[in-house]
Amino acid sequence: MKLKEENRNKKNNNKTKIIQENIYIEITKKEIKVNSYLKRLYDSKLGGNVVFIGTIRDKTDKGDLIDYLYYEAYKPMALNEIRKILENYLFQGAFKKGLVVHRIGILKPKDIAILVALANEHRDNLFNVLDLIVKEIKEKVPIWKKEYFNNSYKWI
Amino acid sequence: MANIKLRRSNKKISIKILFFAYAKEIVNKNYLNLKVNNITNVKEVLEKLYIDYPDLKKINFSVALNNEYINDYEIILKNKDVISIIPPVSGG
Repeated sequence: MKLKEENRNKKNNNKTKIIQENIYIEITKKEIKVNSYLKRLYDSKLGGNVVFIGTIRDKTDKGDLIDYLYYEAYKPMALNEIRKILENYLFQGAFKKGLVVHRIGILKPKDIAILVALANEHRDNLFNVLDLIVKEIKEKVPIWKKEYFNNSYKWI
Repeated sequence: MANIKLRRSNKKISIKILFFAYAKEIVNKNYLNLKVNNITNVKEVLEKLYIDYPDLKKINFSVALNNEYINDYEIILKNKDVISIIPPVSGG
């Protein structure tokens, strides 16, 4: 019984995706291939698709050259927090389909760290909603990054 | 009545504390398993952590209980509860 429960917990902790009818969320160590994810969004009834792609810059805020970044996530909670953020706007009717893919592990300059995309009948307020969702993800979702530069590192 | 209360408070429960990012580096562990009194609240667990790992006091962090952020640290813990120490996030 105990073993079963431990296995179930392990399974939940290893979960990397939430797939629902109108929402797709993934936390992955693999390269984010934008087009293959966006295909999930395209819908003959939805003509407005807006996309945010966050990539790694080559300098720290102080101007040091970045070697790479290390992203760490508390996956079960991160997936759930992203789901709550998306559902809040979905249930208000702000979009019809949404997806968030966040990469973790080692990322180098120009690599894509996050893809957020929304679809609705028309683009109307969609850019604004996308911006709000990205801001909330950055504020609430338990994902952290560490910058490696000049043989040192810093959590940011 | 007093005896019952006393017996209840002697009962131990198991909880788990998870650490992330620089909190993990301070504690030098991914997690801790603790046995605590069955009337222990979140605040008391944090106070115990501050004694064992004083550097935790120097950082800001939020707390999640069973994967939900909490603001009320007076919540009494239950057996198998999971407390997460969440330093300021920086995803995206």
